[in-house]
Amino acid sequence: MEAGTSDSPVFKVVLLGEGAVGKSSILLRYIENKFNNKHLSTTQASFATRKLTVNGKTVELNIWDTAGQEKYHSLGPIYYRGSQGAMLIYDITDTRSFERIKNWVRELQEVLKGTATLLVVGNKVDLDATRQIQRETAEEYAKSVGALYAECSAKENIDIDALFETITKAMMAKASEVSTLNRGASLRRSTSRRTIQVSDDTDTEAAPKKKCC
Amino acid sequence: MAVGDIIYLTTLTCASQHACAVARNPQKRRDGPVDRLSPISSSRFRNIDVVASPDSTKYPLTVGDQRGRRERRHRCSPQSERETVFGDLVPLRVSLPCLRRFLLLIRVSVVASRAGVLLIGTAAYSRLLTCPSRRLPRLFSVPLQERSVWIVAGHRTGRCLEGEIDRILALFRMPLMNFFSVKQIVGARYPPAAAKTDTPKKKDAEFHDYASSVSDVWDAGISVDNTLVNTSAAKVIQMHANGATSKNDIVMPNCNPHPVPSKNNKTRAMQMLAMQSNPPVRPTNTTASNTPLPASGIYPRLGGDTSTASSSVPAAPRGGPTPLETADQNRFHRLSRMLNNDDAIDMEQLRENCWMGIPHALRPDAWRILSGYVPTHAARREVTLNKKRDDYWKFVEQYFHTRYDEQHHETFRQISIDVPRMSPLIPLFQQKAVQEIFERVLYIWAVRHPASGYVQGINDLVTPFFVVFLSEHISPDVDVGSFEVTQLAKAKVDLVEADSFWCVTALLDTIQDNYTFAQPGIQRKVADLKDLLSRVDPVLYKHLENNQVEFLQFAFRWMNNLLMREIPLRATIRLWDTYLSELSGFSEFHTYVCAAFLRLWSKQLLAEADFQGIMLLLQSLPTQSWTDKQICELTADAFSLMSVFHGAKNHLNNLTPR
Repeated sequence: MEAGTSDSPVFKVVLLGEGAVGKSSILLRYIENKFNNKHLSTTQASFATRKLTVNGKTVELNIWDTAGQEKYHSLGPIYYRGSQGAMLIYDITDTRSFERIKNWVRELQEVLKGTATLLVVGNKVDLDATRQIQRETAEEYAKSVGALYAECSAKENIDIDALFETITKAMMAKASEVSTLNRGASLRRSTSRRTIQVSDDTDTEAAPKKKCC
Repeated sequence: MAVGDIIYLTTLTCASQHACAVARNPQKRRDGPVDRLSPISSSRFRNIDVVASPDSTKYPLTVGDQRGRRERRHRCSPQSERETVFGDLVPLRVSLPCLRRFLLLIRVSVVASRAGVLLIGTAAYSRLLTCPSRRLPRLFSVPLQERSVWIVAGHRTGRCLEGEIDRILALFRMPLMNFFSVKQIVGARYPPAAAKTDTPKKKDAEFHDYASSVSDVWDAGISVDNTLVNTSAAKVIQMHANGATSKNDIVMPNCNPHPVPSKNNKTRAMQMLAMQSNPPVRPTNTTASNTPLPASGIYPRLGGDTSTASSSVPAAPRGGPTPLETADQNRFHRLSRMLNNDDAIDMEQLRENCWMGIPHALRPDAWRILSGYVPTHAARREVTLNKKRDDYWKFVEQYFHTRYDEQHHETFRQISIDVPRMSPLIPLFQQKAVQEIFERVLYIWAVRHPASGYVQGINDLVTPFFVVFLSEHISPDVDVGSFEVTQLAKAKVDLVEADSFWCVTALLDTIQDNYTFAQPGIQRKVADLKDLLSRVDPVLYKHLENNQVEFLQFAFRWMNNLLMREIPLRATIRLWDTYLSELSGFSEFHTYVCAAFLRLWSKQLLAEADFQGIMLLLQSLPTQSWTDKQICELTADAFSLMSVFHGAKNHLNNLTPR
C-alpha cells in the first residue's frame, strides 16, 4: 500500500452497518479501550489509525467509521473504495440491523469484486438475553457470502481485539496471495477463475481476478 | 512572507508615496523622489518586527496570481514608472468608488499571507476606513493576526492631524502597542513635484480633479479632539498591556471550555469521537451566581464554565471602555432600541447591527425576527407569535401520535436513537424532558417535510435555538447548560419548544437540499469549497490533493452539521448571529466560512506529512477555547472571501488553470 509513509504495510478497513449498532463504540474500545454510553451519533464518518502485530508482522490499520443512517448510504463508496477489509456490524438484538448488512454485502461484492475481506460482526453479545439473531443463522449467512464471522461486545470488551486481528490476518493472507498470483503466473489467473471462498482459519483462497475491461 | 513582514500599501499620490519612502529611509527626506528603497531603518519603526519587505512580484497584493486582471477589473492600474522607482512597493491607483472592493482584495491577500500591513493614504482613505456606515468597518475592526498592523495616515493636505494615527490605532484595536510612538509622517508634506511638472495623463487628471473636488469633504470630518484621541489611545494601550479581551466579555457566552489535555492527535481524535467519557467536574452554581456581572451576564452560559471565577473579575481595572467597546455598546443600545420600539423594524438595519454579535438579553427577540418567524412590526408580533405557537401544538396533536405507524415508525426510531446521543457533555440535553422536546420537534418537522425527512445532524441544528430561547426564561447568572428544565413552568417550556420548532424550520427551509435524496446541496457546497480553496490557498489545496485527502471526507460534516461538530456550542451561537444577519447565511455564506475555517489551519495541516495525520487533525481541530474574537475573524475573513468570489466564479474560472 502506498498510502502510508511508515514502513509497515497499511490496510484500510471500513466499518459499516445500521445506526446505533455500535460501530463507533467498537472503534473507541479498540483504539482507546473506553466505552461510552452516550457518544455523539456519527454523521458522515470518522477516521482512526492503529498499529498491531500479527504473526510477527507489524501492520497499520486505517479505520473509517461511517454513519449509520440510510440517508448516508450514498456516501459509502468514498470510504469503502480501496479498502482491503470491511466490517459489517449488526446488533444481535435487532433484526433489521442484520438485514441492513445484507445490502452492504451485496454492494461491496458488486463494487469491490472480492478484493476486500468481509467480516460480519454481531455486536452487543452482553445483551444475549434479548438476542434476536442466532449465531448459527448469522454464521451461515456469512459463509454463504464468503465472509468471516465474529461476535463481540464493545461494552464489556469481549473479543474486540480479536475482531481486528481476525480481519487483519485475513487481509494479510489475501495480500500475500494476490502478490504471489501477480508474481507467479498471469497465465494461471487467466485460466482459473475461482469464486471467493474465505474460511475461518484465515486460509484464504485466491481472490478472483476478473479481467478488467 | 512570514508573520511580522509588512506589506506597504500606498495610495496614489506622490505625496503618500514619498511619505512611505521617507518613513523607510528618513535621510532621503529632502532629496526628492527616492530611487532606491532601503529596508526599514527609521527609528520610528524600530519596534516593528520587520523581517523583510515583500517582493511585489512574488507576493502580489491581490488574490492569487491574477493581479493584473483584477486590477483592471477594478479600474486599478499600476503606475509602471513608480513601480520601478519604488521597487518593492506596489503603488496602486484606486478610485474611490472601487476602494471598498480594493480593500477587500487587499485584505484577502493579507490574511492569506499573514503579514502585517502598513497602509499609507490620504485623509480620504482613513475617513473611509473609519466611516461607521456600510459593512467595511467590520473588516477592519478585528485584528487580523497578532502582529498585523494597519496604519492609515491622513496627510494629503499636509495638515494632518496630530493624533490621527493613534486614533486609528485605537479604532482598529491595534495589537502591537509598540506602535504608539508613531506619529505623523512629516515627509508627506513633500510637494509632489514630478506630478506637477509632468503633464498628467487624462486619467490621472480626472482622478486628481475628482480627488481635489471632494477633498474638503473628506477632511472635514476628521477634525479630532486631541485629548479624546490621546486618552482613548492610552486606554487601548493599557488594555493590550493588561492582556484583557474587551469585546469577548460582552459578546460570548460565559463558558470556557476545557483545553484538550493530550497533544496526541490520535487520542484527541478519539476524544472527539467519544466526547470524553468523564465529563469534567463543574463548579457548583452557587459560587457563580453570587456575582452577576454587568458584561458577562449578557450572554448565556453553556458547558463547563470552570472559568467563572476568572471571568467574573469586573472590567474595572481597565479603566473605562475603549473606543471599540464603545462602538459595541452603541450598537447594543441601538439594537435594544430597535427591538423595543413600537414601529416596524428595518430588517436591513437590524441585520447590520446583529452581524457582529447580539447581546444575550436581546438575542431571543432578534433571532425570532431575523429568522422571519415573527413580523417586524411590533404590534403584530404578539398576535403572530401566539398563533404560531398554537399552530405548533396543533401539529403535535395532529401528527405526533402517528410516530409508531408503519409509515413513520422508521423516522421516529432514527430520531429516538439520535436524540439521546446529542451533545454528551452538556447535562441539559441528557434530561428526559428535553429529549422528549427534541423528539417532538424533530418528528413534527420530519413528517411535514417528506422530501427530506429526518437526517442525522438535523438534531444538532435545534440545539442553538433551544438554548437561546430557554435562556430567555432563566436568570442570566445560571448556566443554561446544566439547567434543570423541570424547574421551569411547563407553559414556558412549551413556548421554548414551539419557538425552536419554527426557527429551525425557517433555517432548514434555506438549506433543504442539504438533506434531500443524495444530499445534492452538500455535494455542491463541498465542491464550491474545494474550488474556493484552490484559489485562496493553493499550497494547502495541493497538499491535501497529494495526500489523497478528499474534501468530502471531512467537509461533508462541516456542511451537514454547519460546523457545529467543529466548534463549541457557544461559538456556534455567536456564529449564528452572523448567519441569521446574512441574507443567505446558512446556505451561501456558510461555504465561505468553511473556506476561511479551513485555511485557518493551513499551517498545521501543511505540517502533517501524511493522510493519517491530516485526517486526524481535521477531526479534532483545537477550537475548544474559541471566543468571540475567533468568530469575528472567521466571519470577517469569510465576508471578504464572499465579496471577492461570490458570483465571480466564472470570471475566475477563465483565469486559473484548473
